[in-house]
Amino acid sequence: MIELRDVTKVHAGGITALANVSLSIAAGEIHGIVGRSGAGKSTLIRCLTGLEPVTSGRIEIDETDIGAARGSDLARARRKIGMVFQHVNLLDSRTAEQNISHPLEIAGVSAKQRTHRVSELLELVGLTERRHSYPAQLSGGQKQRVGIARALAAEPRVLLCDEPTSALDSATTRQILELIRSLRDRLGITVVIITHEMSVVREICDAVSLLEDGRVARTGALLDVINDAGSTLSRDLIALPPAALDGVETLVEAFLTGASGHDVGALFAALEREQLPARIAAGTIETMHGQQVGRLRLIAHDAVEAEKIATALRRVGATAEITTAEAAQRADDERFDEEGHDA
Amino acid sequence: MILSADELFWNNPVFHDRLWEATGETVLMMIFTTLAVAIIGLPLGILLHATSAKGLTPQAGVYRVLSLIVDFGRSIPFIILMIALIPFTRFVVGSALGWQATVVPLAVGAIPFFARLVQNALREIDAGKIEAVQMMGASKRHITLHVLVREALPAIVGALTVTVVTLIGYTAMAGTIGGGGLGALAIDYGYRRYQSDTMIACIVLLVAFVALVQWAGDTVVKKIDHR
Repeated sequence: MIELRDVTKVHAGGITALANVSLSIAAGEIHGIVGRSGAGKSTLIRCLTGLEPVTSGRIEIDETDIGAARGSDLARARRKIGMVFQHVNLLDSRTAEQNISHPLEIAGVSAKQRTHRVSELLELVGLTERRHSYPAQLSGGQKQRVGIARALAAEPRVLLCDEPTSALDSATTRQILELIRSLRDRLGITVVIITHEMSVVREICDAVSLLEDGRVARTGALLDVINDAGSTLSRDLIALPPAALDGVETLVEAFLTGASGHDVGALFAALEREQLPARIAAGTIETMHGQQVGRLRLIAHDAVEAEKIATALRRVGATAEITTAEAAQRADDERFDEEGHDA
Repeated sequence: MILSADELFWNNPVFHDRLWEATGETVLMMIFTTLAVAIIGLPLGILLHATSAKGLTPQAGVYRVLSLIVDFGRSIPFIILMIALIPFTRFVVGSALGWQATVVPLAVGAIPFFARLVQNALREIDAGKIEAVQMMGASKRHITLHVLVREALPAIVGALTVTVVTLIGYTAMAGTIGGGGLGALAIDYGYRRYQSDTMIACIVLLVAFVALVQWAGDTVVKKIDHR
């Protein structure tokens, strides 16, 4: 559905925002794009929408070359894309209904058809009762619902979401993500979500790409990316909470996915069998696509014990590596995810 | 007939001879000037915004020229502008005296002022809103009229109210060189003929006038502002 081939974008100041970015997003997929601020996420989305021209390379959306389109071709190509913004960007002078109707007015749809379609969309996002409210009278979550309905008005093939939940609290975030997922299921649209919140990726993405310094550092199906235990993206997605490691020298980091055929409990059973201590410094367990994924940080007395623990854990299909407290601390500091409210 | 000022205080023939006529003149001056300011100042303000660096069609050269003209108009004190414009006023109205003649310098003085206020109002509109509408495939014309002006309308009406209130003050200055209206009456009778009652009546009417304009402006803004 979306194909980026060797997309490079050099800004006027000579800064390279995107360098040879190639990405492939399948139809009907929910694809997360993550990265630190300054990694090129915003530039990528502006190029995808044709708001900024690319320096070189090709961006195809539903077989239309967005990068080459100009004028009315670009306007037509843009109607295949619905865009959801972090700050929603509704017009304050229009009611919910009039905001949703706006893209249809621009596309020249007749008043009668507009009324019909707007009612449909209001029902789709569950805001029929608030149709006559102005944005100022709506809550953050309701505004984003109107934003999503507006993005879907012209029946786009692709929904581009730029930090759609970053301005919302966690309960509202969950509702909005649930809405996006159900819309994908019902309408079969392709969804691209740009976010810095790993929880968003964990919760609804089928695939994820990591941007680093304008390059795609990693892209793949969500479980594949997570199963790559040692990668930074996997560490960010299944992150360990911070723990005090004073006086600790040797650690064992274990990672287990459902692909091993075991759940996290198997790790403890393995340690018990070998009569090894299970002193846990930190641990995380998530269930994704029906599989349990866990990461544990265990404290070992010395290198010999650490080796024994690691061997026992590997026997049940976990990856286990021996590390020092100092190295673990350093790895934690490198994380960029800021999801304080999510713990 | 010589009457002492005391006997005629608050029974001044000027009241029924001139006061209502002068009030009517002030009202007419304001209506015509406001129309001219809105009709010329609004497009000028839109053009200023459009050609500015933040606008939809940045044109550094055009912007600089427009900006210079607008600032030129705004920097001349009204009383001097009025005198300097006398030949132009004669050309347009046919006379440099009376309320009709006052409308010309009033409009010339207020248009650049209002245009700048309009530009400021348009600049306040969040760029994200414009991007959202661009994404729908909207034309620049649509964005200008249906997004920028519509979203900024409460601020624009507020700016027009401020402009009109300022204009009421200017009409009084016009009185010193033969303009019409309440300002002229206050100067001709209240000041030059020491008729304090006329002065007080003019002041009360002018204050009421300003209050009325401000109230009307605020009411309209309240009605159209949904933020």
